[in-house]
Amino acid sequence: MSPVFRHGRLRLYLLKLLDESPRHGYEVIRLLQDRFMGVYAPSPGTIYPRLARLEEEGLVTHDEAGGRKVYRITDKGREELRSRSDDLSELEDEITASVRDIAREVTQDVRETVRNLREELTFAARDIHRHGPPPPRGARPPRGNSAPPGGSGWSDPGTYRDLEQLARRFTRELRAAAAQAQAVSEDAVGDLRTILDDTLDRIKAEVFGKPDDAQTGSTQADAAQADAARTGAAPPAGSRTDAPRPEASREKVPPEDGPGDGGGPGRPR
Amino acid sequence: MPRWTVDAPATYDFDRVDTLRVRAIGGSVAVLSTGDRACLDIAGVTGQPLVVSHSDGVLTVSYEDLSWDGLLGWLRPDKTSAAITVTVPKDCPVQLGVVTASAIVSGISADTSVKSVSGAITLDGVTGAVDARTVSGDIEAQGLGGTIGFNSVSGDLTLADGSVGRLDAKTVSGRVTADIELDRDAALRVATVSGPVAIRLPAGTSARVDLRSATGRVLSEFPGLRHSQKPGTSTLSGDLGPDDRDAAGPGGPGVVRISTMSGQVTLLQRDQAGPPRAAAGSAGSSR
Repeated sequence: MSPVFRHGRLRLYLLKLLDESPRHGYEVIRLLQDRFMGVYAPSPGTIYPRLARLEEEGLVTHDEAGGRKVYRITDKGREELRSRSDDLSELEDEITASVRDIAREVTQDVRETVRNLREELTFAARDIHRHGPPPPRGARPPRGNSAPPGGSGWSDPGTYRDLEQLARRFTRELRAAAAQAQAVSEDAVGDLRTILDDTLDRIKAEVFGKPDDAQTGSTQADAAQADAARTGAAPPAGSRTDAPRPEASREKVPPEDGPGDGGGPGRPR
Repeated sequence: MPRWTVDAPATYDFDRVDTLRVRAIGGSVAVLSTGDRACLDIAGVTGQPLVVSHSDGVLTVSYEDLSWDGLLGWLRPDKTSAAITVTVPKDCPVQLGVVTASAIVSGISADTSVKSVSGAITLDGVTGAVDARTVSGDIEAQGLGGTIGFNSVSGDLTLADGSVGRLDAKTVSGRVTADIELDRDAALRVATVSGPVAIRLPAGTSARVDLRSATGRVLSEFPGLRHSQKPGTSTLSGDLGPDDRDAAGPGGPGVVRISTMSGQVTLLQRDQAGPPRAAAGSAGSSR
């Protein structure tokens, strides 16, 4: 998420919170989290030095109450707040907009999941209505008994659907984890990219490369993906799934580089 | 009683909100859960002004003289619209009525009632009892829990990733699609006239099943159900679950009853080996 507070804005918002009422430092932190639905979670290391600086400037002062500092805005602080009221209302608009963004993202996320699900179940239902119910368990591949999509390394569309579902679930969990994150460092996106790139390389090498060499992944999700690919009779090494362009795949969830054009049931997005 | 007429963008904070009622005509409504501070944001007001009141913990956002019974009267071409965003504590019961406005409710653990004429409703992680009634509006939901009531004329119901204790769905021509788990003692009842029904349950689900359709086809991916064909009804019924009945433990299996006049009925099986919930969860939290 882009920085919510541009230069000087956090300082202004701190003054605003203290103008509403005197507060403990931790209360300020909690309120900030609250306003941003947990998306922006400032650390004590961000807030306390700023409060101290505001105090040096004479904009706030503090009392000791029960061994804790309670910060209070001064007349000079109120004056500062008044002189920057335009900035403040602009900032509040931006904060509200970020809550709206969250609502929009959640809506998109659910809609995407639900539409994919509806398509998947409709496809599966059409499949069994056309070909009849499957033989008893144990005598059939994991799911689905339609013909393999021509030209694809995936012999079983059911397995490919599983893979798509894994990819969607991963995206969803990632978003959820981000939404709940308590402290996000500035290069979180860089770290994430590194982890995902490493993981993608591993998946390419261990799952889509030589199926016989595939080892149990370090996480259960990896293992599940490996399972999905193995049961789907992954193609031999060097086949078409082997060479996706790394750059193009950077921002994506790995399986989307899979055989999306191979007649698989997934809708191209 | 504090009461405001709102015809321009406005934001309000409230110390205490323990019931939320929103009635909207066009535009959008978003209800999100928050730590503890309730906040209402209104933007894009066109046409009629909104009326906001807050009294004794009850926050109401509505229009003058607009009750649910009177909602249909608003169904004329009308430019009345607003973008309403509310954050409330997660244990705050929500009552929502919309005409054409789209709505989202996220993260609420209390009773949630949604009525819509044609607006699409999105529910995300609503774990309280849900009661949804629509004419042609679709309900799209993810991660629901507990009790769900659904009634529509042509609106579709789609449930993804929920764990359901009780689902009562009735629709004329809407589609019912669900990929869910059943709680112990769950009761899942779906009735449609022409709407097709596709339900996917995890392999190993323990339930007494009765699927029937007058003229539509009835099929199950689960083995072991008996098929019977009488004039006017095609039925698939039997018990799902482990062969060893005692292994199901106390509490007994759930009940799944699906009936349609002309819609097709499909009961699908999700392999446990597919995307296990626990594995995905631990991957999400361990990173």
